[in-house]
Amino acid sequence: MTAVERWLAFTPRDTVTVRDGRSFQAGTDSSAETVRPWPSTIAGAVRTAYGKEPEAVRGPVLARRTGTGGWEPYLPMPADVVRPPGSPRACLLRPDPELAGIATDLGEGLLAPPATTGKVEEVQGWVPGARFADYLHGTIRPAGFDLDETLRPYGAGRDPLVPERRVGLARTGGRTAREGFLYQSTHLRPLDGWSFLACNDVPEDDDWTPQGPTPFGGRGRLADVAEVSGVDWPAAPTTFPDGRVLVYLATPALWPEGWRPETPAGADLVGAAVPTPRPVATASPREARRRGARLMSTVALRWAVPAGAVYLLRFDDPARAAAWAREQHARPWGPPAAARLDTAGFGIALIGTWKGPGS
Amino acid sequence: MTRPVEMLLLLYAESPVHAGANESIDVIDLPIQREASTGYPVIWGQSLKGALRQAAEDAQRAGGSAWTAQLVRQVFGSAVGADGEESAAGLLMVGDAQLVAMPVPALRRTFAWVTSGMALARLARKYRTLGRPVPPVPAVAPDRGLASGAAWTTMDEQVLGPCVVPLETSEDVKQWAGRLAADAIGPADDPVTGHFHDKFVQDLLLVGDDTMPQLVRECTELNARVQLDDGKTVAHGPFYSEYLPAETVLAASLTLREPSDVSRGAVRELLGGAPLQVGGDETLGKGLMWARLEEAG
Repeated sequence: MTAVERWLAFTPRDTVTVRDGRSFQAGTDSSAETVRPWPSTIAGAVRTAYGKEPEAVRGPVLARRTGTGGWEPYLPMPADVVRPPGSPRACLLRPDPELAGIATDLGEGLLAPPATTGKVEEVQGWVPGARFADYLHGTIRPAGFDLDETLRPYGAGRDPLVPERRVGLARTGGRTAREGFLYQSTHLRPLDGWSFLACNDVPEDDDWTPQGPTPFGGRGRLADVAEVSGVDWPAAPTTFPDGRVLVYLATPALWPEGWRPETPAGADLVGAAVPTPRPVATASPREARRRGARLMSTVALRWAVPAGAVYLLRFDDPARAAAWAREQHARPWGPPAAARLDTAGFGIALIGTWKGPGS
Repeated sequence: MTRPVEMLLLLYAESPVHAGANESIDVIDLPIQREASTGYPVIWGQSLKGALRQAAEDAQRAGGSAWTAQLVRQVFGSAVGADGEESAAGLLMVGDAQLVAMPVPALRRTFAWVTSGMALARLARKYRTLGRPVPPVPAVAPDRGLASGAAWTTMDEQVLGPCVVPLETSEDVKQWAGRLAADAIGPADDPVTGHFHDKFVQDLLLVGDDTMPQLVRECTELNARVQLDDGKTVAHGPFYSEYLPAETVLAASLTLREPSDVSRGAVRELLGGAPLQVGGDETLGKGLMWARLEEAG
């Protein structure tokens, strides 16, 4: 049976809270932090919306409704985009021939900003899909470019997911505060018009009609669900001069070797820009019910390569690079650290090309 | 599996409401809860769920209702810190109670209810989950407003709290006023609710995005309070508490999973027009809200 892509939009009714992996229990702990929804968060919501599992879920992708009723996907700023502190001009981290021969624990694949740039800092923000295609096609000058004009990241430092700190308090039967049961947790409130999208591979012949609302994250938060059309991943280039392939992680990845993915045959890993790893906690209430076990027995904590990480590869044959890119674009880069993580949306790679530092 | 039941809970404040936030803001020691992205007042789902649970437990203790200890646990989940039992999620999912309309002082007709395009659009989404048609949400310029009643357009501009706003009448706002007066305030022919039903129909104003943030920030109530010692001198204070004013209207989505006739009937009984205690300062007479429930179909 042929699989087709179906996109679903999950719009939180108010806030989203997804635990950061640390344990939390009212009365024992006093604060809980939240993170952006994981692929496993949206995969669970997709399963609930359809009432059955698709072949694969790819997401979440943050998206904003356009004035014409369509959707513009937004992707985390690539980790190889840096700038001098406060500068409107940014540049790309690229392999620096000057650093050749320096021995480190990371090997020889060191990336650096252009030699004349000086001290740089990472850039935060969300890049709209249309601009992201320019990045993937290698049309941006690594030596320097105007950040707002070229990538047009969303907001001047304003995140579409606004943290909202909430306190909770348990009461006694006598309607007074229960001692030791005051806690604080952080929720994320999406700005109006923003939703989380999931691209789902479903068999063409079956009925796949979503029904909502679905639970989305923790604390009983709900999201409305709707099938959407006219949205797609940013397009990949078709040619890869000198076999240079850039891999961008659109969703967090969990690989057996930690930050280092399995390099495809005929390619070398030239360098990587990988932000700080993030802890991922997953749990499966459904699996716990099936086994008649406690929920805690299904909990797993792993360290993920965050979305936005960038890997630079060089293939020995440009045609081989193009063939790999066609197969890999907008698909999970594997193998995953555990079964089903790839079909739950972890490690979705967008493929581009890259130029040397002097370009 | 039975499909979840969607419900819309409309809350109408009988007395000022203090659903407390976590941090002091400027001179306000005890501010109310607000949305981080808009600054609109809100009652968090967790706070509202606690209030609903308390009402169910009170009904159970009073007897004569469908609520039993087992049903309370089934609908609202296991109590926080309950010993010796596996924690269980409740069947009732409670969303945030979002602002629909807030009273602001005016130089005509004592006060008016203000709302915004965003507030009505959010309410329209909630009605849509019930399968109910709603009037269109009219667009308005950021510095202007639309009124449900003609009394607001006899002069070029009207004073609303600290703002002066030019108003014109709108058929769409009039339709929204009629819908909300019936669903949130109560029947027009009821001697208890009739007066405010009629006032709401006449006095709902939809204001633009320049005005609404200022009104929701500045038209809440601020009370200065002190604590006295035995000698009747001030021991603590003054400290300032913020309240959502009486007559405010809020709306929250409720979703009941795996509904049975018993659980659905009990929720309906609990929220079918009875007053509900929400937020703090209960012994000061605060936090009384009339609850009305709209269901799908």
